[in-house]
Amino acid sequence: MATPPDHDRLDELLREDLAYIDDAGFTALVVSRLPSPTRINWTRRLILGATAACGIGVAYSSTPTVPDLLHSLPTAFSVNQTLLLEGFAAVVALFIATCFVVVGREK
Amino acid sequence: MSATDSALIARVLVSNDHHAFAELVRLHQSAVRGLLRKLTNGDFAMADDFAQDTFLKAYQKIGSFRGESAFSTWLYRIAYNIWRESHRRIRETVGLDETATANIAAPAETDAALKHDLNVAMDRLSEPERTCILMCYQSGMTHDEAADVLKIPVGTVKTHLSRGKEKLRAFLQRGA
Repeated sequence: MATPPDHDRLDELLREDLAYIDDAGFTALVVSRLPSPTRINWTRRLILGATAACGIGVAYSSTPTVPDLLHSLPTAFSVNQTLLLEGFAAVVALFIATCFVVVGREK
Repeated sequence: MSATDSALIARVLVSNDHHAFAELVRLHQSAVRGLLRKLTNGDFAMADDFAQDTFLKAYQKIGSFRGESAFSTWLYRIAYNIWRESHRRIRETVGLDETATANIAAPAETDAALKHDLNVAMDRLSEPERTCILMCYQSGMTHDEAADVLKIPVGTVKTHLSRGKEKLRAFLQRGA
């Protein structure tokens, strides 16, 4: 048996093994075992899109005030260009939000 | 958490970026494998298996990482839990602790002998004492980090460290 160390030497001995461990292919091995990224479920997206389109169609045809409103829109937009831009921005924002919801549910 | 870690984690979260995750593994593999090598008493193969499981679990659960502690601390916690679970199972079936110190070769002289004696003495500590010493001395964690990984108060970590070191000295003195 060796001579017992004093406090400082014991601390030193305990801390000796902090050497860097070489990767040596470890990272590649881990990455090869990672699950492949989730594939986009096109069938699900198609069904959701078709259902949404049907819903919009039904809502459009069954609401008597909607066609009147739509007919008056071009006149309103021709008078006020800012209104046209705002309306377009709102539609784009709505589309992006819907995409996020659909993609988020798939994950 | 370092800026590099958070940027890489964001890339993994947003686009499942395997390259970003590979970079995270490259940055932290040494520390995680080092800790596991010590916890497994130098069984490199087993330690690397546990380390792989650690990173795979981290990839699966990365969405639950809140950034409240360092990413490395979060990884250490996963690694420690994987080792503890496996250690518990092995101990239940084979009684590993009784045989672990039985097949250790006779010590040589000088510094190497002292290190050998220290390793033997480490095996005789209680599990919390040994784990705290491994984490704080041999893996370079702070007391706070070790407490976070082990889910115990910082004061308890300090107590385990102090008692563990006293026991080590006593073991080494008795053996001398």
